[in-house]
Amino acid sequence: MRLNAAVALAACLVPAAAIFEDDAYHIDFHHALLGLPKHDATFFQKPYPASKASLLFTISENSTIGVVNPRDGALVWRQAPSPYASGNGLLRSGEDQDTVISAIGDRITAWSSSDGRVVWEATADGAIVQDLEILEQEDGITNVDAKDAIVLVGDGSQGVRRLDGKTGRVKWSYQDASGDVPFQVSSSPTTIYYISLHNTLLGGSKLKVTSLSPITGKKIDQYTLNSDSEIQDHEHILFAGANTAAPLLAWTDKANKVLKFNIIGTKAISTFNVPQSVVEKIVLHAPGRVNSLPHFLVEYRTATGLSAEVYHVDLKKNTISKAYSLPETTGKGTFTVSTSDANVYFTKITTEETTIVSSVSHGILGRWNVKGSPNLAGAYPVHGVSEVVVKTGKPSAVRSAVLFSNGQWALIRNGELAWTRPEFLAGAVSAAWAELPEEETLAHELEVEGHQNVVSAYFHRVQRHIRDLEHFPAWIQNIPKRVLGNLVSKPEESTIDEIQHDTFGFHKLVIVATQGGQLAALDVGSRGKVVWSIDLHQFAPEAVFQSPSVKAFRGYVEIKDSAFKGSLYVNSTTGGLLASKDIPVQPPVASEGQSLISFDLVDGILTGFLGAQSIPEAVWTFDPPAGERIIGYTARPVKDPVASIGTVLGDRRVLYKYLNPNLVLVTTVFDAARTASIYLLDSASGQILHTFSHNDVDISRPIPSTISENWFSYSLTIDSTSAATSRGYHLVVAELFESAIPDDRGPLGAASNASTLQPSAAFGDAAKPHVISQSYHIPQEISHMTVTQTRQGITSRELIVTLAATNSIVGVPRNVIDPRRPIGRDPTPSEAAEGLTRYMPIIPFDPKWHLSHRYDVVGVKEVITSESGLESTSLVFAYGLDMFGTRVAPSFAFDVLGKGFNKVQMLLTVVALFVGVLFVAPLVKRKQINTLWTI
Amino acid sequence: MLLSKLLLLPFAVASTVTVYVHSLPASHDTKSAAATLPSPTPIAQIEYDVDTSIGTLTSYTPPIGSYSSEHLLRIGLTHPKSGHWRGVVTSAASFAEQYKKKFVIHVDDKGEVYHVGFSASAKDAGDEVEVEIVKKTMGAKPQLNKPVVLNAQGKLDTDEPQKTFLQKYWWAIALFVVFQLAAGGKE
Repeated sequence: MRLNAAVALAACLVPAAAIFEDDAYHIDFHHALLGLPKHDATFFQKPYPASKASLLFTISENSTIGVVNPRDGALVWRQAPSPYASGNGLLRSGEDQDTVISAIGDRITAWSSSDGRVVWEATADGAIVQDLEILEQEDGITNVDAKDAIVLVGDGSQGVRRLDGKTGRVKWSYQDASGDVPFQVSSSPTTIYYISLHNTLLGGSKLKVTSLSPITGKKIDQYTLNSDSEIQDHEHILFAGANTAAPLLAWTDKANKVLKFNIIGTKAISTFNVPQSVVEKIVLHAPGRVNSLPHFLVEYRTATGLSAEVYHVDLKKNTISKAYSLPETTGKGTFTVSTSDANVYFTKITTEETTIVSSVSHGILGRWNVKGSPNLAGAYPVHGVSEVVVKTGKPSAVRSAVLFSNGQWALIRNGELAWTRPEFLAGAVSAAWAELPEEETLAHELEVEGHQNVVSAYFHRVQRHIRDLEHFPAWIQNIPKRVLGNLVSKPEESTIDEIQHDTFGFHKLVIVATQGGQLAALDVGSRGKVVWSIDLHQFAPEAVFQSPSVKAFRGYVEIKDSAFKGSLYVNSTTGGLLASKDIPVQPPVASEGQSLISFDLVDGILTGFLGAQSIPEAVWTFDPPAGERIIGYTARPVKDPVASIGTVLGDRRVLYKYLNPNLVLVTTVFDAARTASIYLLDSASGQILHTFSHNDVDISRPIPSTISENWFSYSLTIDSTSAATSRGYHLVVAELFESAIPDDRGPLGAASNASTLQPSAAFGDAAKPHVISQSYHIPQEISHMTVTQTRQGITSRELIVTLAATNSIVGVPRNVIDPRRPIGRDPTPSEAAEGLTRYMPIIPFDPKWHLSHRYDVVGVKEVITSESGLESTSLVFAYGLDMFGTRVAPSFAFDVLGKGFNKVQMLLTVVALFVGVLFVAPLVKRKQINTLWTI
Repeated sequence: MLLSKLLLLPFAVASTVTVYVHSLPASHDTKSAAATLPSPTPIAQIEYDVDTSIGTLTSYTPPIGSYSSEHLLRIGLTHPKSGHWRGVVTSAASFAEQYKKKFVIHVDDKGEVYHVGFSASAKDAGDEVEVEIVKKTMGAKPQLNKPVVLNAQGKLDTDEPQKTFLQKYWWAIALFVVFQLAAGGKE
């Protein structure tokens, strides 16, 4: 009875593979990333005035707004930009406010600080927001209500606007028709200053300051500063006093020799000489609070060291004077500024130590040695923000969120590294599964043995086994450790050694290249740990990376980019550069007497070439019909094992699959006619095997496609304004068979060898497949699709689709999208035995199919899959803005014990049984002897 | 729309397309062969009618020259406007006499040729050269369920025809007749 119930339960489970609760957060990982934080838009802030702790707010270089808990680095909330947003991302917050205001492109949005909900939203009507400030004080009185925002817009209608802090409504706007380049706005308690750059004929820029009334927006005054001899570029302006007690303008000349200051509102320019002779970069740090002391620090970065000077502003006399200077120290680092009441503190962060000085005197008030971390090895601080805790007039603790030069965003609390976030990984453009050298060697040896005759293969194998004996002592020594590790759950460590000795093959490395030219290796099996990361600029110093592409080979990866000629070869296990002589030559696999045809998209025409021939003579070309353009193509994966050559029907007959390794799916759109077409090509001969065209397609939407085994699928959007009967998102699945008739292999029959180039000896058209297709409505648009891969291809496949609207990744089981589902009738018993269900025009994405469960996987560019060591399991890795990895078992984990299996209990049972046998055996023996004697 | 189609009909029939054959340089002497590459030569002229999808071969000249059976030949056509070459590749063995050659002409929605296909298979009773015109096929559309139609009373409209009086009460009549027959025996 219990068995029956168990079988019934198992039968219920089969159609809905889902992630089990105890697997979630263990088998999968998610790096919710932001991108490199911007210096001027990163700050510590209390989410609401009464809050005890502050949060770390930032907007990244790719305009993602993120709020991080400074305690553990966990993301509190995040708002990813829409893919169409352009322009500079700005983020500002007023004191004692419960909102933060951002501006990206033409959108100005106020977000609730604690949960990231939209409070109000406003647009700049096509103009691009250049600067954003919060009006802290009005007529010298601090606003207690929602503080208004001052917005500077350009590119279109240029001018300054004041937006209501509660609603985002425009209170007044000041139009500037002068055609000067808008630069910044700044506010003082009584005036708003609008700073623009007036380009002179000689190429320099003059700073033009316009003062506006905060209440009416009317122009009060305007003056121009003669800065055209120094300012050639935006970069030469160091600071344009955003909301400080002393609104300042600071600029330098091209050679970083001279510093010039202007207190905004006065016309006087103070000039100071830069102390060091060769300064690479000058950064000005001024407190951002209105009621703090008007002190600021100028940081000088040289090639080897760091020094600084502190200046004081006398607001009564309108003068600037140098207070003290901090001596140069070797080693790279940065300064940060923080305030406590009116006091200003400067924190110096280097790779060795953190020190605090007050703005009033140069005495060091606190010093902590920074402990190194492997994550930050070789990197130095680039910029940061700090928060200082002051007890009895002396800073007692400091925490700094620092961006390091290797792209790690770290929080250093009193010299201790609290957390790091691998923000350099955001914006990955290419990724590949690394093939490790050792296992590949074995595969190679086996390949050698397979090609030899029996005797020499036997000797080769014996020799290999003798060679392997040298690892035997180490292996023996490791056994107790491994057994113990199996019994007690071991911590998830990730080293290269671990990955190489991984029995289940879950620990696989993914090599990721980012847009900025960073390369990193992640271990998908141990929650996406970064095993190594390197900056590609060290190998190609002059290159400005556009979008490097990664291709994996045995033991190394090849990196190509339009920024440099040729390719870089990087070792997949260490991240070291390989010279081209170290790379074993791997010619493309073509047997004797065969030639290889490769293909590529050349000038919008898919073209096939003969081998690696030096002259690009096209063998075949596919040029879509007039008006159509190719938007993408997908080829069958190189490694796509198929376990069965046929589909067994319910009545034990077989439909033979059309298994052509050279299938290519080409997607084209016709912009004027709003049609999309899919062409199935044979990439060896260039023949068209099948075409599909769709009318009324919204061609502005993506048309993802994938092809695997003998089936392909694609998704498109039918325009909602068209007259088509079924509009919206469609998923089309097509399956290819050798013949429409079961048990028939078509013209080719059981021939093991077939060519699309050579004539066939059979009657009839051999090369054409029989195509069955079905289309479904889906509730959401698919932005990318791929198929799971397993070692032998026995496990049923799953279509992995990325849904951009809900930031999720869904695995659709293959049997749900089987194009042989009966339409308009219930399946016959033999069809039901095959697992076919009645066709439904809509496929709802079952919540159980969501692989990303609670994770919000934002900005996925591509999903890649790989086999694991187990046949049941396929590894999945998604990259883009975020990184997400998991493993899926579409036919359940039939070849591995579950987590619930208690090994200790099993051993104890065996021992108990053994002891029982020891006790019972003499009794039984005596009884048997007694029965013999009684007869 | 229909009228314009009718007007265009006389012009739409019998378009002609010429298929060319173009040899590839043998792979071992690529550089020297690049210079002596023969120019494309017409192999077949095909007349086709888009509306009926019938194509007829007007002329066919098998490729001349002695090629090894492994040698690759390109079968293609030139773009009517840009003059670009487009086509597929096959081997010289396909033109041997024991095979039936088949030219596939792919036409788009406007009836213009955009691609060509070629295959060779064992010869049966038919012609030596066959022509097929392939139009683009429409992709699958979701097969929607039939909408549920309710009548004014908000009920499902049953299309069942009303039963006649006889159909409804035949059993009562039969019972009556039987009763009458059974009862009428006493006289």
